[in-house]
Amino acid sequence: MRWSVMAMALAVLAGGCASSRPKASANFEMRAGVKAAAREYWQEAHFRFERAQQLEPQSFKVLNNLAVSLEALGRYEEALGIYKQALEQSPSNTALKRNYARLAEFYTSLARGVKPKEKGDAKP
Amino acid sequence: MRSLSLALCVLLAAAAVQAGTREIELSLPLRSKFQISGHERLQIGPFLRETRGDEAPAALKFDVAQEFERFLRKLLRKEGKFVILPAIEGVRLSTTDPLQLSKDTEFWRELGTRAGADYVVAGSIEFTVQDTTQPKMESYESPIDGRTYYRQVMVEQTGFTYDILLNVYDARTGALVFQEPFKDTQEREERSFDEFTGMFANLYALENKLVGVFVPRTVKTKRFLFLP
Repeated sequence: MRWSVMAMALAVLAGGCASSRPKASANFEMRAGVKAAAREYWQEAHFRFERAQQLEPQSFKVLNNLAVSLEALGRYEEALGIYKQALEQSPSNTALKRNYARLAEFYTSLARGVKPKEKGDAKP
Repeated sequence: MRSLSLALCVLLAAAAVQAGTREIELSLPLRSKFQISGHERLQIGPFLRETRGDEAPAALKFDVAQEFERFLRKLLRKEGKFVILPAIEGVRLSTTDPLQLSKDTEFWRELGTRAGADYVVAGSIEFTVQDTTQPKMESYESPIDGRTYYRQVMVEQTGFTYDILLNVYDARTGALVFQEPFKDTQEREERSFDEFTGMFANLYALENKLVGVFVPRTVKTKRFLFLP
């Protein structure tokens, strides 16, 4: 009798723990990524956006955020590729186009060897 | 009324961009062109003053190569964490031909060992000053009929041109490990403009490029993140 009560209590506890763990969803990963990015924890943000991309590979929002995190880590060529994928999904999104234009401007000036403009204000 | 609706349109467009997004500050990292840890011991100089062809170098009131060395030493000390070694007096160059000198590994190895450096930053510099008077098109509004006309005026200018070849040598082997050319032209709308001021106007314009060779930097910018 005592053993069965203990087993039941354990089962309830395990169930509780399982339900308290957040469900793996792109939304959850995106939220965590944006929070990390706001604190400038870009490695963590990148990890979260990458997981979100695995869950929703075609989402232009996820792809955009992933590209921004790659930029923050200095991986500009990869970021350009990801922005292009995102633009294929949503070619008219203004925020996405603006991000891409700003990186393209920065990357071009970097390749030309001139000082990239600070406070990038390129327009799409 | 029209301006009000225009302002409203701009506001609506801005709101449309911002909807479901968050604009964040981003510091984009820029790697230095010459990949080093940033704590090396650097020997700055010697720099050779180069001339075009067989022309004799223009007589200046100062030593261009020495001034450039001094400027670079100060710049790298300020912007980096390198150990900048004191200048060595009386360095005798094996040749005055910059190309030949860059290949003389024995000379650079010896200089590096004498200074106790990890790298030797040297090269050649060409600085030319040109006084010119040239015609320039200028618009003016006639006080008689109020119309805009164009006229030619003679403008006196002083042009300062820099052509620098920056070489980095490995002090242990004397081998050339990095090379970068820099070119810049500045013009002053004045004849016989002070050469010394002109030279430093050029150098300040090149400052960022010179620092970028040795020191990693960041560029502040903004990006939009989409909210879930």
